Parts: sequence; C-alpha cells; structure tokens
Amino acid sequence: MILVNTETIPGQRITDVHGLVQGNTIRAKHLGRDIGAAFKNMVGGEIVSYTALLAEAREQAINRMVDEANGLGANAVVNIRFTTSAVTGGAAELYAYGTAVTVVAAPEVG
Amino acid sequence: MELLLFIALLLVIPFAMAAVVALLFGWIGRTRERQHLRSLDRRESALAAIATTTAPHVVGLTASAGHFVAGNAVMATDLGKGLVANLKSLIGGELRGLTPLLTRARREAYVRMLESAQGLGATAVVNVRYDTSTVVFGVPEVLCHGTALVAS
Repeated sequence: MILVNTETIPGQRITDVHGLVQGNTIRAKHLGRDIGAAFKNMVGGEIVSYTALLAEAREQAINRMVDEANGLGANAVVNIRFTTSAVTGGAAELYAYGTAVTVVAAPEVG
Repeated sequence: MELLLFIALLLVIPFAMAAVVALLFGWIGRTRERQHLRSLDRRESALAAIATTTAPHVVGLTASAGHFVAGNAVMATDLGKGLVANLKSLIGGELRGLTPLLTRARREAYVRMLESAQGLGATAVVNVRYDTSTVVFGVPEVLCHGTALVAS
C-alpha cells in the first residue's frame, strides 16, 4: 500500500476515492522507562525510550489506518495527517488519518 | 546568638545544596547539548543533497514514486535550565534557556526524516510538516513528516 502526505502520488493516477480512513492507538508507558525519563529530565537530552515508544505507536496507528483502507478496497492512502495527545496517567494517544484511494500506474510525461 | 546562626544555616543549606545540584546538572546538560548540536551539524550537511520543501511539488523534478517518511524526537531539558525557567516564569518573559530544547528536537526529527528518505533512495522530500505535542513531565515531542520522492 502506498502512503503519502501529499494529495497526489507521483507516477500514479487516482481513479477512485473511498473516503476518510483512520487508525489510533493509546500507549501507556512502562514504569522502568519513566524512572529513566525522570533522570534524563535532569541531565537533558533525548529520551530515547519515549522516542521509540511513540514511533512504535505511530507505526501501529498507521497499520490500523492501512487495514481500514484495505477493507474499503483501496490501494493507497493520501494526505496523511497526525495528531498526538497526552491523556491521563502519562499515556499518549496517536491518531493517524488520511484519504483512502485507488490508484493506477500512470507514468508522468517528462 | 549561636541559635540565630544555627537557624540561618538551617535555612540556607538546603537552598545551597539545591543550587549546587542544579549547577552540576546544568553543566552536564550544556555539555550534552554541545555534543548534540555538533552531531546535528554533521548529519545535516551529510544529508544536504536531498531537496526539501513544504510545497507539494519540486519544480523541475519528475518523480516515479513517492512514499511517506517521518522522524520524531522527544527531548528533555536539564535540571539547571529547568530551575531557571521555573524561576523566570514567576516574573514572566521569554524563557530563552528552553528555546534550544525545541529547536534541537525539531532538527533531530528533521534529520531522522531525511535519513529515512535517504534509505529509500529519494532525491527530494515534499510537503514537510511538523507536529509538536507534550508527553510525560511536560517534555515535548516533535514529529517531522513528508513525502519522499524518487526521481524517474
């Protein structure tokens, strides 16, 4: 499945629009990571465990969006956007949304 | 007389200890920041060949394929800067010490997005967007995403 955050896909022509598709996930953090994060908050710098946590959560949200698009018979998702929100208990909700479309190859004339 | 001195010391010592700890962590944080900035400069110049734009197209580039790429970074500030920022926020005004925090997070997310694009063999990344949010302890996360174009 082709994923882009533009309206069109280079080298492809949109033949059918299936509408909005979305995927989300709420990830809670692990207590052990939190202690590490609290320490990093003192010395500064990247909190790698949280970066990894959020990257994984984003992948999962995207996969769920792709599953929904597959269910509609689409082979691409365009105009992908994200929102992230912090919820109680220090968890993060990742929401990915886009427009599911069907595309066919249409090589662009140079 | 000694009692007054004793009370004064009792009040001052915790603040003095806190100040020393903050200074120590502040020094560690500044050193790490310098290292990170050097790493960012190096990686940015290595990836300078990839054209980026916030527009949906690159003029003069015909692409054969496009794919979504993203990079993210969660960046925390150190205790020294955090303490100064908390004190400054009592009187209001710009928290200049915290500005590098988000700048570094943005640059890191941007570089990671370009690294994914480079892995796909892309020559340009279009529709570059930034999203910022807060994770635990008021620590920000920056996501940078775009569409990587492979030239035809």
